[in-house]
Amino acid sequence: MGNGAAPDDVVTLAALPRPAPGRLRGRALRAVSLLMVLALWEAASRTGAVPAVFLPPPTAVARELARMAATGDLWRNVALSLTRILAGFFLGSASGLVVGVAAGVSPPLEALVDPLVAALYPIPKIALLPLLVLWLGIGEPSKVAVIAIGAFFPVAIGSMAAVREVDPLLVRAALSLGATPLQVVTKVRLPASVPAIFASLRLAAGMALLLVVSAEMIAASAGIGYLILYAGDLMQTARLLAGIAVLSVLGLLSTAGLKAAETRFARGRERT
Amino acid sequence: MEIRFDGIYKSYLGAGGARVDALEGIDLTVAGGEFVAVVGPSGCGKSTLLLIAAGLVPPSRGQVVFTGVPRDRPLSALVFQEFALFGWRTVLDNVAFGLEVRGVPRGERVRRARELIRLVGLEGCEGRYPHELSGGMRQRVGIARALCVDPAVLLMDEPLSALDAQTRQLMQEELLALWERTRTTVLYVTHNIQEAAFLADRIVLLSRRPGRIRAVLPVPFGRPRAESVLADPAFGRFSHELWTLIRDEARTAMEEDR
Repeated sequence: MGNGAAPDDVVTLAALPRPAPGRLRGRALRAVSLLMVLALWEAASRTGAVPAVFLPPPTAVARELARMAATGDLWRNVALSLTRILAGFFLGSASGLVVGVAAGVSPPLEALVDPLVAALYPIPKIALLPLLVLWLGIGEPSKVAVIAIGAFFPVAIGSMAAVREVDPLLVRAALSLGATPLQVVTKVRLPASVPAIFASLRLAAGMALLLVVSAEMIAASAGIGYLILYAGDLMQTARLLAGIAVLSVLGLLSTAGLKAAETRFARGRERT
Repeated sequence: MEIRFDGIYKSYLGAGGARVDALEGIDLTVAGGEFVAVVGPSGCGKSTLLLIAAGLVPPSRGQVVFTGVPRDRPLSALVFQEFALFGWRTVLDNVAFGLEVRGVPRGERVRRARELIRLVGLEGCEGRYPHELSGGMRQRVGIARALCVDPAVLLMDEPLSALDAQTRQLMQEELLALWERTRTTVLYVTHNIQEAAFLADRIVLLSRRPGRIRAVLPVPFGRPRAESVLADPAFGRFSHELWTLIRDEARTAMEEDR
């Protein structure tokens, strides 16, 4: 191989020993990372390195969760928050989709909608809650409304850009084959935009979770956000952490649900 | 049936608001059942000519006249260099798209689409999606999709230019065989001289921008034509003759693009 090597030197490039299948190894590593953090946390609380009042061990959080599940506390609060999230998310993303798609296919409508969206989008939506409470009262409608507004913008902006920026060649192909302008929207622009629309729905779902917690911390007497805030006031740290764990699960579930919906919608599409 | 281009001019506003003349005074008649290739250097407006024929871009002046086309028959359908398939639809649903938007009942359009899929040699691929196919197979879907609406004229815009050299050669042969069977009227845009000479009945040479017709040459090889024509010394001479006609233009185009 190298200079001056004797002619009978033999260099062999052979197959490497077979590594563990990549996905399995990846999964194992993921589990290890999670378990390691939990174990460290447990140890830190148990040894008294961190006072349990500030950071109770994971087992205590799990016990608290189980207790809340048994008393029905957990389900009542989750059901309330979930109802607010779902109502706000569906209202907001459905109207966002309608406005976004309409503005995306009609330049005059886009000229009307775009400046409004640009002006309103940067407002942190939670700042609108006091106004919404004034208008709609302290009950459910104001909380659902703030979530709906939060979900509206990512979907409106995302779907507008998606349907507008569909490959013009596909539009040409459809027109050349006899599609009407309406069919170009329903049979080309919309289906071609499915991945981008789902990306915006994921943003909207994150926004909904963020806003439900904020709204419940400001103006509610039940719900996960309220539970967390109240537990904090009483220094029930295990209960507080249990609430946060529930939020994490809700977030994961919404991502998984949207992913499943997208897979159904986007069968056969090239993964990008 | 015939298509007549009547004094087509096309200019558009380019970058910086300057007027760009793309086509100038195109007069051309394509007879029913004829395969006409339009050849020219890059930027000669040959794709614009197809879009005008497809009714997707209006000419600045002049008109395209179709005569003898039954009222319910589509005038044209396009095949694109980049295939432009609908990635979320199966091969079958891509091919049936034109009939679907025209309101043909499902059973009827599936039957017709299967026929076309068989014609382009893709039977068995009906349920697959475009990204699962090779470039050559994708373009067969593109061709079947356009033929499925039975257009009066098939408009092909560099349909083989995105393929690798060997696939391209094979597809040329398949396209020839397909045309021998269907005898569809074809307007075929390409920058490839051999391809034009191999496939077409007549070749229209366009000049550099603004595109003008420099010459219209009948291809001196009979039908049915086979792949063996490529080995004919006369084919080499004819291709060379075409090349001499456009080489200066091609050189200018190349230098301007730099």
